[in-house]
Amino acid sequence: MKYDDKNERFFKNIASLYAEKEGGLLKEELAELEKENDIQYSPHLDRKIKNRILSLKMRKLSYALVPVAACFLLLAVYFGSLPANNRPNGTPIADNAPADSGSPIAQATAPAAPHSTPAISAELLSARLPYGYEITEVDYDKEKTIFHIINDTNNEIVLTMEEAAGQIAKNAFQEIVVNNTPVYGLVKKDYSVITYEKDDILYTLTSKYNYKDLIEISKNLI
Amino acid sequence: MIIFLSFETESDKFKFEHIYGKYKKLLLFKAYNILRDYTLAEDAVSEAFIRIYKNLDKIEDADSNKTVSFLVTIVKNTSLTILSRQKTGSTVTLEDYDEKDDSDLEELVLSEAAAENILKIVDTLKDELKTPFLLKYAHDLSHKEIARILNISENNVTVRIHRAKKKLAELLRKEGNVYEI
Repeated sequence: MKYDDKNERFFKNIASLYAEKEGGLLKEELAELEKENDIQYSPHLDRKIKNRILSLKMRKLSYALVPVAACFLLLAVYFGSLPANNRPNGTPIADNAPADSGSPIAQATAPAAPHSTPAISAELLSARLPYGYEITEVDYDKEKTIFHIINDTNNEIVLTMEEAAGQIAKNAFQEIVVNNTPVYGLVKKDYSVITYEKDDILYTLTSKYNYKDLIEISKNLI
Repeated sequence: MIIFLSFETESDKFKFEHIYGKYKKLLLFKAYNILRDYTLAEDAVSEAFIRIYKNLDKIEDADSNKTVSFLVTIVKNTSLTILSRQKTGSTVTLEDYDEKDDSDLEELVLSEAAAENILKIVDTLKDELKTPFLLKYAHDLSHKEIARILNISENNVTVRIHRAKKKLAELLRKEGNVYEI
């Protein structure tokens, strides 16, 4: 069968006609189903799909943050390898030099916190959540612990905990203070984010609907 | 970085929610018809909607007949994939399922090569050939996109589309030799 524009147009026409006709019949079928109302489905289906889509979005956000984290890492390695005048006996700065907390560079080269994976059990976290919030799932992704939280209005919140790698990239965020701790928030049309650092752990809370839920949770956790 | 964060437009979000709310029931019905199990049907629909979400840009009008056909095509594929996984140890394949389907459709084929007849001839194609054929020609997807949706290799897509066209040409010639293909 030789390739021919005419043939391709013919196949395109019949395929389009077929899809149109099939779609029409399916719509009639749907109208009948709406009347009969005998399809059973559980609320788990809605939640399952929402969670999967939120995970897809979080993954995309993570991919976007990787180059930023890589830049900070490069800066840390670069400045860490520079010879310093106040380095006692040639030992690396990171050992004993007190960090100048006003300088981002100093923060990037400050002594690393003891290496520890954020280890908080779901039970312990659950006890600290506000009333009406519960943990539905816990995921682990390399150094991150991801808690899926839901409240009594069915709003889903994702809490990610990971070891704080350095300064929070807060360019687009608005700073507020919660329980004397600076917290950085961002509200977009289809999601909200709050992030803050406490005890060398970076907390990131994300929700599709309600920014206030994120504040509510962070008040209990900080 | 702000650009990275804005990876979904408001209209995309609305489109997906509209499609989900309107057609969830129909897709569950179709999946259940194949799988005969509500839990498996939900799994099939869940997977179908994730594939739809990833290919949202391919859907122009969420209410068109073509879109409904597209959605059902995807859920039928995810359902048949689950079904073939369920039938472990047996020799039941997607082709076997399609043969059962074909036996109900044969009676619809008429002797005259009218437009209606052509559609019925398309209907007689096995699902594994019809699906990629329709995704390419009715929904303008590339072979790569079809491969991703159906979870098969691009080469497989090319072969199946070629077979579908060949089969259609053969059936159309049998019906009256009206189309020179």
